Amino acid sequence: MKIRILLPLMLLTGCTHSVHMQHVSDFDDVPAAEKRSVVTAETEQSVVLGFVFDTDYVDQAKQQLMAQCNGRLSAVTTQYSTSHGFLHWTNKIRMQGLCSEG
Amino acid sequence: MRWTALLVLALTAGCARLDHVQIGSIDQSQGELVPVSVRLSETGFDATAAAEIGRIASRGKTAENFKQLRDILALINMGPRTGNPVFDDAYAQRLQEYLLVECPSGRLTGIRAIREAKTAGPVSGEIVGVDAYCIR
Repeated sequence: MKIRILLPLMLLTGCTHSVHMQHVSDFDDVPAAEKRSVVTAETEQSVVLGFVFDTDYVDQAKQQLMAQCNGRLSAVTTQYSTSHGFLHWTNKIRMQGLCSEG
Repeated sequence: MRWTALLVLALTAGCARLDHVQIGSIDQSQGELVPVSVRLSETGFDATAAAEIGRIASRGKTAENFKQLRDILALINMGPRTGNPVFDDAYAQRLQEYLLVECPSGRLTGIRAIREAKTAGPVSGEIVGVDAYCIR
């Protein structure tokens, strides 16, 4: 009986997230809509029982973003969030910017 | 008595929470500044806290079951949190897009990024927002 209540509850509440911060950079000289494209980079850090792996995931996101745009990157938004799990969690960085090349 | 106390607490505990605020540069020399604002939100629910409320509000075997439930929920939702957990972490991803809808020229200044919430016990509205000035 107990497991019949617990299992659906665990399935329903087992995929939670927490958005800690959403930073928005200055919108400097954003180009016209037809001259810009949206570029996005996402990286993750796995944490198991407090033990962290891959501590340079923020730098990796920045490098990924820069690699996608040879010109000017502006209006960069940065989201830092965590996906919760059983005895582990995943920290996530998502960066998105407007790229104007040429 | 216990239920009355809980009801009074639930009705009076609704409040706001500010987690983070940051402001960028402000340029008042380029033209008229028109305030624009974007708010994106998602329902937050702390199941562990709800189970704890159930434990406090009950007694005997039921209270023990709520305690076990609380412990299990805490184990399967480990990790740092800001406010109550949400079930979709993509709710704030279209911030840039909505800002450009509010200000098509993209000439924004005085950008204030805000992370806040409206809370009512284990339930909350987790909010990500931006206030800014559009240069017209």
